Amino acid sequence: MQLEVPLLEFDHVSRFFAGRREVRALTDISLTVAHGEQICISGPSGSGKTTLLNLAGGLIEPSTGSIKMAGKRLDTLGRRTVASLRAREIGFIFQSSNLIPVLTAAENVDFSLRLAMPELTANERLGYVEEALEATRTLALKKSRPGELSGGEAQRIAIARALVKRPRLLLADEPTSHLDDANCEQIGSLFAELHAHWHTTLLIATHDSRILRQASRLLALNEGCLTGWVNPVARRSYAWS
Amino acid sequence: MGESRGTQIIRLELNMQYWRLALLNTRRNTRRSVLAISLMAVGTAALIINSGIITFIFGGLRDDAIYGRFGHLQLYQQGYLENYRRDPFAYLVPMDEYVTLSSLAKSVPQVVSVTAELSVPIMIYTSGRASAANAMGEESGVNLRTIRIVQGKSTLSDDTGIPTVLVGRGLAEKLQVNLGDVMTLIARGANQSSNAIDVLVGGIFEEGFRDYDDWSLKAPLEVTQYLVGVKGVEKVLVFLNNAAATDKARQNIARLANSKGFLIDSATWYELAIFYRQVIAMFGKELRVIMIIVEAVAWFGIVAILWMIFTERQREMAALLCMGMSRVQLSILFVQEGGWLGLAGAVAGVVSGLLIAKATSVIGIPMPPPPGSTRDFVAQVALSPAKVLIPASLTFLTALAASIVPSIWIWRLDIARNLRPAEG
Repeated sequence: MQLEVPLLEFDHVSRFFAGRREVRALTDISLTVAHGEQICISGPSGSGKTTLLNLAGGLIEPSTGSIKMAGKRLDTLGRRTVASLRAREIGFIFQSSNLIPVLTAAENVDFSLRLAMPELTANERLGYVEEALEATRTLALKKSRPGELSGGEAQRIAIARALVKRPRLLLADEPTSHLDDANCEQIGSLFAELHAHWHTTLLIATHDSRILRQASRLLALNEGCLTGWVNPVARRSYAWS
Repeated sequence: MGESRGTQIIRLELNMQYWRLALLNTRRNTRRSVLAISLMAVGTAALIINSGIITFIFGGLRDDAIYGRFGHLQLYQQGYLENYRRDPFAYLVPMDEYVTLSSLAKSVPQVVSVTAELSVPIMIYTSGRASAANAMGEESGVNLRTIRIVQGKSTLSDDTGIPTVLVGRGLAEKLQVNLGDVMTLIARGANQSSNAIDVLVGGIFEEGFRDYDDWSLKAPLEVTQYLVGVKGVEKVLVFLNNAAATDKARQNIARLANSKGFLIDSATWYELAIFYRQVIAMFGKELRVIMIIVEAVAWFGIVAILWMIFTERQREMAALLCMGMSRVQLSILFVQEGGWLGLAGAVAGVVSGLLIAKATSVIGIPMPPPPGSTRDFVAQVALSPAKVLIPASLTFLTALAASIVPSIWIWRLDIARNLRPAEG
């Protein structure tokens, strides 16, 4: 029987940032992410959560070690191939929505889809866009521009934008940090629904307990080192250092 | 292997989407866009007006040269151009040949009229004063169209028994002659004898060139022929319906003349009008320098504005790169945004340039006499499609060239740094 290739593999990955003093953002991280997992990364500020997501998305390269996505080493792929990989396979959700302010919600989602799947016809794209907006419960806002949306609505559109291309991996960096409690609750349950219905692999850096609760695995980072991971069954038994 | 038709359509559609996004982006900060467009519009309009005024001046100089002095085309007896200084009367066109040549020339479609000229160096005596001058013997009423008559009438005649001449303004002042005064013209004839004739001052003209007005006198052709004792003409002046047809007419006349056995030399107004060529060269260079300066100002202005846009949108651009947009696509987006601004600037510049040109032409710009000229004039803005399209195209291309600069910054844009959360 052939073993399934993991979606993402970190093999002794370290990342340093040069400067007046060298910053060791991540040190010797080894990690395997299987298809369909929902992993949350937590840790204090400066612990390396964002760096880990950036490495996973091919936005930066490791200083040492290697990262594989679906068995392919990212550092061996060219800049263009990695960009194409991001367009098709990886969805990003940022701390703020980063929507294009001059486009409507639907156009923002459509723009991402065009980059990912330029071969689709206008009608096919419309179907994808409406499905993604429906999934994030924002279909009614499709003609609104980002300036007319609340923070929570904009973030849900941003999730629809990341989701519309059906990415194999969805990376979210503190997606609720700018939102109030009610919106955090909504985004938290949205991630749960998306994971349940779309089976997207999620890698979420967050402090939000409502999202952390839904994770199939929790990673704890501190000062660039993986200090532990917790599975859902054992979650109550361990405290993070 | 080339792209399939389907891929080409998709690429085109994606580009159209970018053009739209670029257009929408220009509306994000309306004041800034209006500022950029105004900068380019002012530059474009200034170039159109400047170029239009210079074109008007060129046109005036050209018409002065053609209708006041040279005609569009001059025909000579073969050998005249090389030898006229040594032996000016050995290469005249006999009158009977002139008549035939004139008929031939008039059969060419572009030709409007044909006249003849015989210039003679003379001495003028009147009331105890004397001056050397150049008597231009002309057929009456043909070559006088742009001559400004200061006093008297513009026609040459000898109907009254005593021939009437027109005197250049400077020459008239030098000789202190007025209308109706009688002058004696003396010249050395072809056979070395001296001939004299009395003439009446019928008018005083001002051609506009000081050297010309100080030394010239226009007399009936028969007067100069009498003075040198010949029955021929020095040059045949041909006038056309369009200066641009000069070379074509020259070829046609030469072909016809050759077929009839005439051996002729010819020169165009452009070859003869040395001053005109010098002015064109000087102003043409000045216009190019002004164009470069104006476009450089526009270029720096647009680069500065794009730098502001770039710094404001770094986070958004990082997000787009994160979504899989390539840096080339992002650079193209900037070029497209610059293209829209350039297009708007060029169109606004053309519209305002045309309006100002129209107003200027109605009001007129009083100008002092040009160097070497005695006449001031009222300038207008002469426009042609090329004079409008060249500045507009330059503005558009300058905007495009300026918007290539951000691609350097985009290439260096650190995605991760620009997406970094405020904390974490």
